[in-house]
Amino acid sequence: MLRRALALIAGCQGVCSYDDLARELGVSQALAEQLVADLLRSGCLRMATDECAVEGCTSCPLHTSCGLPGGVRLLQLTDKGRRWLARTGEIDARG
Amino acid sequence: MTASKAGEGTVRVALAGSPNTGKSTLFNFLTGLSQHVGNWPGKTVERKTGTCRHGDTAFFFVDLPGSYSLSASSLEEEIARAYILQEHPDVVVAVLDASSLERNLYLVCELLELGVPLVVVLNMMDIVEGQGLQVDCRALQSALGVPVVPMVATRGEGIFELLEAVRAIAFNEVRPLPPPPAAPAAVQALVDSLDGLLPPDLALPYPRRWALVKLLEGDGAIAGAMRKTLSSNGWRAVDSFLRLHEDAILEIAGGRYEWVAQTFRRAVQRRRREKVPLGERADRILTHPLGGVLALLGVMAAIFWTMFSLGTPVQRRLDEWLVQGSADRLESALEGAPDRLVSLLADGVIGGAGLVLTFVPILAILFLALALLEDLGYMARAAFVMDRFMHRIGLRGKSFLPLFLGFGCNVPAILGSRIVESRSARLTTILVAPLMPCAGRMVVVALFTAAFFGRAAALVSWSMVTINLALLALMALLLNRFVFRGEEAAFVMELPRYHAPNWRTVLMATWQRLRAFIVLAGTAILAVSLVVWALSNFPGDHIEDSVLGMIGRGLEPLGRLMGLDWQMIVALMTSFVAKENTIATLGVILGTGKGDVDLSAQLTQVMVPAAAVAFIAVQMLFVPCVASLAAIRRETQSWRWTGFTVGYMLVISLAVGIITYQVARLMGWGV
Repeated sequence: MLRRALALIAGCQGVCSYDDLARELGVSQALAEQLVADLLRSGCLRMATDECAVEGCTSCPLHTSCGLPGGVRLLQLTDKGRRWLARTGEIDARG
Repeated sequence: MTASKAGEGTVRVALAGSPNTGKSTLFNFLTGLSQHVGNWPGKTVERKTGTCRHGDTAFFFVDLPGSYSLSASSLEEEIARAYILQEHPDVVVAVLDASSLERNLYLVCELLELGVPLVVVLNMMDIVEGQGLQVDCRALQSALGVPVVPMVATRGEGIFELLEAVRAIAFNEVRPLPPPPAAPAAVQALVDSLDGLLPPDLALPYPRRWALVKLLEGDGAIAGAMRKTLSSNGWRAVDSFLRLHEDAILEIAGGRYEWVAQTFRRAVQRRRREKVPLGERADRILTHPLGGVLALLGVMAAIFWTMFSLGTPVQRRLDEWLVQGSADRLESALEGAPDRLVSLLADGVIGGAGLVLTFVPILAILFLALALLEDLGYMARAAFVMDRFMHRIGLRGKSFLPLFLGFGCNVPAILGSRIVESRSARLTTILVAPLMPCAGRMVVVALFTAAFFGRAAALVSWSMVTINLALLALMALLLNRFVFRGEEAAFVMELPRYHAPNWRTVLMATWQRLRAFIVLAGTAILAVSLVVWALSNFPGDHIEDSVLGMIGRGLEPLGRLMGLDWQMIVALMTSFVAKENTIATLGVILGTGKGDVDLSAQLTQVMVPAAAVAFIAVQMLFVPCVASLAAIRRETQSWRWTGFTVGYMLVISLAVGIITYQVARLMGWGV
């Protein structure tokens, strides 16, 4: 099921929600959240927003308007995730 | 029993469970005043123990830290697992939140794999009904092979049954331990192969097969222990095997999730809920591919309507008091002073930067609305639904989130594109980000639409924003189709729960954005106002003869195609420094700082509605401000792409301006 969840994320058109994953996997949203947490922990996903660190941002008067809408966490497939999926032929290893 | 283990008749019980399952409530109910609170050895995590008696049996309880699994991926999980593995409690009680059973069953699966004496508590049974779930405890007990006790710990319901079940397990009054959940065949084959690499008589402090599974999961603690136990050659072989099968965790954990889903289906029936929670009902509309977009357009329309119906009257009063009133007072105070000095202060400072400040109430409403929607949890839905919409029209690249920042200012939208990992998608994001209608542009739109369109101001503003977004989508589509052919990147988005707004957070966010605007007005806009004043006053006594007048008249033939005279062209050009400068420049040129001259009234005298709507269209699409261009240069590391952005936006803005003017004239707005 974890590999299937990973394949679903890799194949989703753009952004998918926990609700989408839960529906596709036939589980509750809470379990879908746990699946994603496991994929994050195993290094198949990473927090996409961690990288949005701009040097010298704090001195900008507009820096408070930076940042994602409140409470949003965005997770993205990693190279490791792609590689692992490629082993079962789910996606091409290059993406 | 395990009488020997329990020691002098005391049954040692470990309470395990995920956070927020009511484990501590149960522990408090069981142990009452007999608790001892300290820390786990060498850790800062609280350790709670306590005792109680049931009949002639004494129990010693340990409240383990909350953990979702036995993966030891957090300090809490590490402590909980170490206690179970090393202290060998007589019974482990897994406390589950029955209303979130599916999520909690993963831990039960791992406890069953470990083969510990287990009792499962289904807590919070009182709220399961309201969720449209019906939990069949007997079916669950049959599926798990261990006692299952329904409970409402807050009311003490099920405590007696729990103690009975624990006692029975501890004293071996129930059947032997159930077999662990079956792992997928592929995992079993891997475990068998790995087992063959270990000496048959290898002494381990935990079940051998469980340890092999953990090794395949990449468990650092077990791997470390194994490394110390095995010879270097032995470990090298194991390590090579593990590296070769580093993705085994997908099958192992995936197998557990399959088991969880199956067990859940056996034990739980979903019924139609009488009352679906409000947040869930809202999401059915707000995250729907079509309904969500329509809702977003409606929300935007409501914001604009509020801006104009509440903000514009206040802005006009401020204009009378701050700009016209201050100019009057200044002229009286400086009576006899050189005319140039009075003009500099009245026209350059008050008529320029001061006028821009009168738009603070309108922006306050915009920022307050955005902060409120963000705190409610709506903005995340809006971002989510916009992404889906963009995909429906064939857009590639996950650029919606940085673009979303562009509503406040284009600069963070451009800088925020760093989260887009593919270069082609990132470039697309950067190049279209200046088409987002930033707050600076919205101020200009607010001035013109309120002056020319009265009650229809909100509708015109909304239409302009929609046109910008449509052009943004079109531009991104063209770039992706003909310039970049980037690959897809997929995301999982965690949407925050809806909650009542925290007014302190909302007001702080509003104030921080307003303060940034005020700082901008007091620095860059003031500086440009003074430069514009100087260019409009030298050389010669009339503005038409000034440097600004000459530049403007040189470009007037282009402006005529859009019904704009040289003054409007000059105002547009100064927006290159900051979009709000358009207002400051018009204030200086049209002499807003001169007594009772109202800018809105002045504008209606120097241009017709067709020209006004063309001007708004051009302003919304005109070349990015200098800060945005600097950001584009920095992020693309290319003057070519920076120049391309200026070029395409100039062409689009002028083309749309000319078309808008000509169409508006045909509609009778040319008089």
